[in-house]
Amino acid sequence: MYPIATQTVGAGGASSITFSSIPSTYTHLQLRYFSRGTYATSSPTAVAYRFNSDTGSNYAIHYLYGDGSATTAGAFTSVTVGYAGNMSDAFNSSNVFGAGVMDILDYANTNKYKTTRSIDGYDANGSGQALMHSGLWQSTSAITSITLIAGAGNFDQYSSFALYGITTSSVTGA
Amino acid sequence: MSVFLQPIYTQTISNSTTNGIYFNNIPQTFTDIQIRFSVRSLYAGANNTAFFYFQDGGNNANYSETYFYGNGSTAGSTRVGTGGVDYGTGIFAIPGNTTTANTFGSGDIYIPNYAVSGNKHSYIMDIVSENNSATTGIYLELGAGLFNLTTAITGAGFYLQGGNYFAPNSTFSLYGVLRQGV
Repeated sequence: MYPIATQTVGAGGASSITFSSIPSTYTHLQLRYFSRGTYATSSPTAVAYRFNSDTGSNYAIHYLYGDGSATTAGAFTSVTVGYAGNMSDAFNSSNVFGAGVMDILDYANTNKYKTTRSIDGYDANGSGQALMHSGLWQSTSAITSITLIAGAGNFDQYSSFALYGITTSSVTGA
Repeated sequence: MSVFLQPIYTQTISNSTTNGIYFNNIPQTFTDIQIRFSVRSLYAGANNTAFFYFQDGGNNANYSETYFYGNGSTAGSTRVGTGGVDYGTGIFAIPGNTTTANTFGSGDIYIPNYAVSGNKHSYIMDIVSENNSATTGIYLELGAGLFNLTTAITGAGFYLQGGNYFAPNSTFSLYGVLRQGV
């Protein structure tokens, strides 16, 4: 597992951040993030993504979460973004961030649409969610860029996103 | 614990006639192992259940599992006791041939202390089956399982319910994880 790039949001926040020129030399990608949104009207805020700047309705989102009292599952299909997860935002206490890990297996395999799988969540001392997200990008293109987008408002200062590459063995063990 | 993943084995399905894979002789030199997989079934339906097993060949008396799940509209939790599953332990539903073309499920299974004998083996897993549909072919699962034997884990395999075949380009990768100081 190798670090590819890390981005940390500076003062003033950012509506999106992009990892570009992702090398195709790995087999899998993993995104790890620690983030908070500036949106103050409600919570949570989605950590959305687009691959290769594709703004078409080529994404599907599925989720499962618990909020401390109930579990819920839901979906969005043929939408213009995928979700890496949910994060805390300015509706909650200051300095409370969310965390998540998203895997993208076979991201450079041109025989496959790309499936994402995330575990994410936040706790705001009185509210919060523990979640699992999955996503589908209906494209066989190798992923060469990932843009992460705050679902509303901006990513707050100190939000941090790290991208890793994972290789595989050439030995089958069969 | 290090998050470094050292590749051990990878198997890629290259034909339409493979209904199972198995990793033999897993090295005993790591602290933990993880299996990551991107899989699809040629089953003529929306989902096909996949199973995995260790070197016991899949005696269902040796496996139990607790998990919660979502299918796009409903969330729930289930426990399957030893002897309650088909063969090995049922793990997840993967996309079948009627789901969106080229769409694969994604998952990983983490098995700590796999090489230690004397303790039964616990594992955790998170697995998703995707499709461009709200509920058809959808399955998100976060689970914990028990391999109810105390011998070190030396092999692991997967197969599909009904003897169905994995789709070409399905991949299974085994990794080793070392803790600090090893």
